[in-house]
Amino acid sequence: MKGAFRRVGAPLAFYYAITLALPLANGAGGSAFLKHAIIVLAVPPALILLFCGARAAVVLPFRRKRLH
Amino acid sequence: MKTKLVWLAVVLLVIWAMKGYYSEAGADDLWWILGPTARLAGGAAVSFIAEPGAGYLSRERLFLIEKSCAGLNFMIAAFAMSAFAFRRRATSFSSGAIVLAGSLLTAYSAAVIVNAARIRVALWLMGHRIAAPQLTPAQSHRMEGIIVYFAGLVLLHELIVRMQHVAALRGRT
Repeated sequence: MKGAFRRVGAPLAFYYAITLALPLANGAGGSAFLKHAIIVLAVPPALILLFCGARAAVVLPFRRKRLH
Repeated sequence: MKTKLVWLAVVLLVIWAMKGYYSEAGADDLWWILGPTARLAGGAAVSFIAEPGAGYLSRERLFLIEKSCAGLNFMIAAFAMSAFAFRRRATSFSSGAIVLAGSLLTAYSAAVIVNAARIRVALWLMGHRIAAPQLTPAQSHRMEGIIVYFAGLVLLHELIVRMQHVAALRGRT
């Protein structure tokens, strides 16, 4: 899990920088932007967790089988 | 060190200029990215036609690729990420210019491909209505945009890392 987050660290940082930090620096704000920001902040980590979960579900049983 | 600082300043200037251009530009000014995206997103089943002042419209699917769908924010993120990933190659002014141009070209190509994929997914979702019922069409479109753009950035990053790995291996032999 840590490895996955480390691996996508750069894309995640640049994604947040362009979608959140730049608009904030340009004066974006208000409740509409806050709602948008929460979704933008939450979806990518959720996607990574989902991917890790799916990968573990597919790869781990296969690896166990090969070990036995 | 001085070259790197100048190069970094140029990269930041390009990002700032692109962001400024995007905020001022109309749909007609963005033909250079909307046109190829519309052609790639369309196909045998869907055709997009230029609508002056609005963008590219598919009359049969009632789908408009407008300014906010241009994918320029993705292009800026992809450019910044590519420039960051290739920063070690910018050792002189000429190599810095090559890295800058290469990063821009990479970002543009990635933006057109990823944005076309996003539009195709949106068209498919419209036809199949499989989005979560608690989300409005606008919310599910936004959610889909976040997922596709982020996944596009991750894939681009993986591609760059692998390219650098292959280049490093070739350099050793």
